[in-house]
Amino acid sequence: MVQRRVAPLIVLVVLGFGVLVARLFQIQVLEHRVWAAEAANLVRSGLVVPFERGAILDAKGRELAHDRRAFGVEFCYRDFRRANPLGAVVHARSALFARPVGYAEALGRLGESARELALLSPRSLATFAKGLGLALGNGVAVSPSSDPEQDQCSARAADVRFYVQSLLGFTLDDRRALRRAIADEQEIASYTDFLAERRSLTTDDVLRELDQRVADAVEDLEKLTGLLAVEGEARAGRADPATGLAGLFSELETWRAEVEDEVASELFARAAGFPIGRLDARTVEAGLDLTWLARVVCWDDARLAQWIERERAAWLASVHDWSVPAALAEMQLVPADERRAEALIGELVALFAPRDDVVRERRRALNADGPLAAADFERWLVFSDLDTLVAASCDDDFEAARAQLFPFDAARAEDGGDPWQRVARLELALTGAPADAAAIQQRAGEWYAHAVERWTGEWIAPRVEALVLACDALLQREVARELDQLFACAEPDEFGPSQKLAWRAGRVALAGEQVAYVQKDRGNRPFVVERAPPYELVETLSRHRERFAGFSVRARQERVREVDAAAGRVAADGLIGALGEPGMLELRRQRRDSHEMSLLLRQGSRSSEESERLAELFARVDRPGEKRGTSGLESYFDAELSGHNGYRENRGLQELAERDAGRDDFDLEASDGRDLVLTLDLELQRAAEAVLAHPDGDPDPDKRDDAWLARPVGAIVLATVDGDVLAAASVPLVDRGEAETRNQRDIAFDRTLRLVDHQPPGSVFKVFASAYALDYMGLDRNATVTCQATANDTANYKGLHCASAHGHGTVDLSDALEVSCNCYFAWLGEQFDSAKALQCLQTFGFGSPTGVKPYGVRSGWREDSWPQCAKFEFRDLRQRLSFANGLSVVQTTPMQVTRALCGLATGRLPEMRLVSTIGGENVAQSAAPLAISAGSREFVRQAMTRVAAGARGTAHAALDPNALGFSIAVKTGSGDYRPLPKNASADGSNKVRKHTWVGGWIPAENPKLVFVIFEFDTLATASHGAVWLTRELLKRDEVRAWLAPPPVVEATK
Amino acid sequence: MSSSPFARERGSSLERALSLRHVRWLEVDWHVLAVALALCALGLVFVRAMDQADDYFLREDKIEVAKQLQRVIVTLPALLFGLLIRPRWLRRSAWLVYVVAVVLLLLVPVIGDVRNGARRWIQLPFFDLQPSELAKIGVIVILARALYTTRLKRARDWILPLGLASLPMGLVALQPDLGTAMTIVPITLGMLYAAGARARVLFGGLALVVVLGVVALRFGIGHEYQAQRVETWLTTLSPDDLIANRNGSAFHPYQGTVAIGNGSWLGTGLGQGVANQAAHLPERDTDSIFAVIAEETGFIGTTGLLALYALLVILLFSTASHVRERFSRLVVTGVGLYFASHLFINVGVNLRLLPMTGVPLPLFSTGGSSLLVSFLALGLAVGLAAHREPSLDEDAFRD
Repeated sequence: MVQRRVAPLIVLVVLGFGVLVARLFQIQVLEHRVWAAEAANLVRSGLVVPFERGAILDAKGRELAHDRRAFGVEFCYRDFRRANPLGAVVHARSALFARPVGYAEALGRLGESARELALLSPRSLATFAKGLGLALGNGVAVSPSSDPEQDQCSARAADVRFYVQSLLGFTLDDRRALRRAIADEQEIASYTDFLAERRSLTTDDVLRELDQRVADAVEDLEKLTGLLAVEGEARAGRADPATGLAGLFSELETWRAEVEDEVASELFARAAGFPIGRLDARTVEAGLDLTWLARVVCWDDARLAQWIERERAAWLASVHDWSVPAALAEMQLVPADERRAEALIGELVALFAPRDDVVRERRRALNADGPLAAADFERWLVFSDLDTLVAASCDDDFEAARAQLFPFDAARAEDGGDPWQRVARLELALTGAPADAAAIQQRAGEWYAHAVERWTGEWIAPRVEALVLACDALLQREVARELDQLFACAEPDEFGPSQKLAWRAGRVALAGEQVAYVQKDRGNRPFVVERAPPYELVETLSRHRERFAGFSVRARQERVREVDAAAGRVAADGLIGALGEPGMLELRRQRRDSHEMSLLLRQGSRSSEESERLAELFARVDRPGEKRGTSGLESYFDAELSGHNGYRENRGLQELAERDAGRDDFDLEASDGRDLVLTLDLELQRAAEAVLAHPDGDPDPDKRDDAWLARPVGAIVLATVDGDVLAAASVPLVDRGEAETRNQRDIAFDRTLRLVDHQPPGSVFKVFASAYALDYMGLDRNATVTCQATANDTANYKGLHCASAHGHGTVDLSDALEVSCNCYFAWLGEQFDSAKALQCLQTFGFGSPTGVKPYGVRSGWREDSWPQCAKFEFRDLRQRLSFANGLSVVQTTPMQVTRALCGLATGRLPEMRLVSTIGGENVAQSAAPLAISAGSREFVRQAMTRVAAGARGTAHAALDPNALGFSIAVKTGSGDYRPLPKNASADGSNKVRKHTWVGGWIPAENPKLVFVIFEFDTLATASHGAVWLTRELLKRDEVRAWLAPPPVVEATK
Repeated sequence: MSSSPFARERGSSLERALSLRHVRWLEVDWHVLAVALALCALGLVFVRAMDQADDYFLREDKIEVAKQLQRVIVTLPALLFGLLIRPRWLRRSAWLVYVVAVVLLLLVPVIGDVRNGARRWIQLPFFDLQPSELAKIGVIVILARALYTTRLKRARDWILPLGLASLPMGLVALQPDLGTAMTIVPITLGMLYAAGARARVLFGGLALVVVLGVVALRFGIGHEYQAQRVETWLTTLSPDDLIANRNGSAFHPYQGTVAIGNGSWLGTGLGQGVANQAAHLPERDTDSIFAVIAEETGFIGTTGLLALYALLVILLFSTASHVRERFSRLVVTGVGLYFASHLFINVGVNLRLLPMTGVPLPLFSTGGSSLLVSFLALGLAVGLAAHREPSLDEDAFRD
């Protein structure tokens, strides 16, 4: 019997042992790879090594933009509060009094407070941990607690213990010795006495040292304040204008508040299951007891309320700044059909579903590479947790009531209908508008038009935002109602100390388990103190790290631009462009790679293939905060300028790594970007920019356009005859005026490649029409046209008026070019048919890209083409009369005119080149023969020479070669932009607004430098405007120096 | 004059309770004590590694091996005390032991300390006493006493033992400490079986307990966090689900499983596991100490340790099977069941075979109460088996 009864028990034990061992085998051996990876991630630290972006250099190798290693000052609040005596006093007192004690408040009696803390005994803190009161010096006492656990007395006592030891400068050995002494139950009168005895000092000695340490800390902070104040301009702009120590305290409080807010938010989210910001502040304050949270972070009611308000405001702001752009990006990432509607609904539903579901669904969506599936979301944020969050409960069918509230049922119904109708139904339901069939049809049509037929983000964004906010309003209303019901149902013991609904113990315990982890994690977040700290500050912080706990110098890469010190301008600003962080669309596009990368990073060990894949992903995925080119050359050549980031992985805890330099697990070298060498000449570029910034006009005040001169708009291109761009300058350099009232005149962009509104070249085009007509239309260069005013009208040809009201008389081609006679070229234009006109344009490359963009179409740096050119066709006589005059029917950019002039000057039409080498490799320079005979080109050249040199020439007044000192071939032009409203000009005349041009080359006979000067939207003609600008440019030393023959170097004997 | 072994004993009360003279020292199961003390020493080795890791990382709330050693020294006399207790006295005083245990449990709400949301501890000079641990001894002794005279043939025979076991179980569950309360279930069922109950009936009873538990969960009876733990357990059975919930309700099981899984065949080495280095694993010196051991000794070491523990239980059962006196045999069996239930529940929880609950691993986990009860139980088991006590109960004549 005895054996019979015990033996089965032994068998059960053996069987149980077998089960345990089998399960142990499963976890430790079969699943080892999974868990080892997780373990590695718990102690692994990785460091992204940023690449250095390629430099942009001018033709002579001078840096226009480059990365440089810069130093910034960062602040880590956790390090400060733990090691700085001021931080220790503030936080020790906050822990003692369970309220946020401020820095300014603590400073008032810092020495006394430090002494009070130092004179505490381990025993007194042990009793405080159990809820008993605590007497500080000076008659101040901490009241006993009626509920030590609720009041977090034990955790607060531990905090105080730590800060006291920090204040007194306990070493590791001191701490160990103290522990032993406490364990041995030695009588310790105070922490100060303990230290005094240990170091063979008197208590007064230790206290004096403490006083000195505290005084030194304050002095160091004052010194730091002085060093920080060097960058005073930027700091003065901050919300709190306090200066000196008070200013620093203000910043400390800001950083402290941010850290504490984040800790509280994280703990709330872990306990509640949803972020605090998802509830209206009034609802939270009225309904939920948050005493437990306030005790953890040592807050009083006012601070708690401030946090609740702040988090709610942050969430509302995030709708506009994050949620809506994210939804729009998701819509853009799927094909432009009904999937965009699904993507929109999916994003909306996800925004109001509990967090874990979102994560899970996002993963699924990532794998399927499609939008979130709205049908998978059934639960409703906040409601999923509310009934298990608070201790109180009601008997009503909470689940059913909640299900009815979920507003997306209609929208996500798999009814096979038009998904845009589902969007429309949702919108009407949420906004409370009548949802009849017609209204749904109409609204769905609108969505379809803006989201599928054409993408109109400006139309979609406010509607998505309105949908989110309407849904949120519904949520807030129903949560408030539910909390009211719970309030009514609650028993007396289901209210917390603040007489609001108490939380269930398990929920609070869930957060409690992770307090230390969250505090450490959030407290280590760095804040940027100074982006460009003065040398003295960097030196001080680097040499005396121990005196400035929390503050540290961090190296970083920064993009530096070449600044003209004299003018205070960045050279070629608009052309080179800017860097910025990738937009939402780009981030979302990288999501798949990013997700794969994070999975690989999480693996404990990796195969060689996986490591290769990881390296590949690192090359592709932006690191957080990584800047990419967003405009100009920085954007167009972003792929070349960017390298790829490296990664250094360290297996071991941060602390271990610092002490023992743990071994590298994965080491991927960063690969720097490639340098771009431009064809630009920095001096010429600066000269062109200077001329545009402060332009000269006609000396005759009646002829010039003072308004344009005051607010110049235009561009200058200088190039070699081979097509290398030497300067490409535009004004304005920065946007002008208020954003709401800006027009094309006020916006800063590179105008050398752009067609803005209507941009005819005017009479500059006459030289091209002439050369073409001579070769292909049998134009007799001696044929004449009479340009003369009649009794009834000013000089015109079949209604196209000449610039000279009285007329130029009888003119041949050479005269017509010299005086820019419109009547002659109206006659010539009449000879063109559509095919010839198109051929003329194509011969000189008008309407096609100039080749300045070697990789074709890429984003960021835009060159406009003239799409109508390809199907050029005259519709009426007026257009034909205008054609050879370069009016209305012809459009062009300064760069296209430059290229055409290069062709005319040399007989070869080049591809314009702005970049000569990329990463040391040449960018090929190419040119095609210009299909214009040398004789015609020479004829036109001579005529252009007379434009400047001839007494009647339109440019003679400003560009007389005798005054310039070199010969010049030039042509002026004015292309009508838009008529001025009658009586709108200052002098009452009804002038026409125009773009004016001057184009040509120097020297006239042996062309070296091609130039195009373009004035946008001016009242003065080229002869009274652009030519003076050209004169100003050509007279500059930089141009003359460039034109001068290189000095002859005598061979040394 | 040689006294008859059946003669009524004389002497002081102390002598009637404790006796050096009546212990048959040569028949003491020293191998049981050796295994138990080896386990305790091994536990100290792991606690020391934790102490060193905490020192290295300057942790504030460090685990102290010195404190644990002090607890061992303070509680070790309980082993001797248990060993000297005379079976007859214990049988006669079983009600007293039981009442003391229940009174202590009743005192907890009045004078007990609250920690982690539960009121379970009474402060003592060297360690804080957890009366729920002592209650287990009370249950073992009183069940042995109640089952001493019955073989559970009739339905009414079940009422008294079940009632006696249920009272402390209920009081412990109300603290709330469902984990500790649940350890009393296998002890009770095992002792009922050892006393003669039919296995079929016991399995039925066990099934009933499970069903009642499911019903309680379904209708929200009990604490919300308990339901939450069961839900977490059920929804994180696969590694993927556990990892997905690692920052939420599955934080503790996730950290434990990571530590265990990281151990592989040979372990990471003493103090070198992620559990000690990162210290994210909650209760790593008490309820989760098995995860630390598994990580640092690996599958082979952990299997060896489990085998050693199982050996202790089997040796206790074996000892029980050689005790002729029914009351003593039931107590020794109960002690075996005490260690077995803690082993299987603690390790089962750590291996996620059971929902999360806080049960220490006796002789390994830090904590004075657990050590005190473990040593006392071991002393009782070994002592009762080695006592020269006359017995006239019918089992004394069975072979």
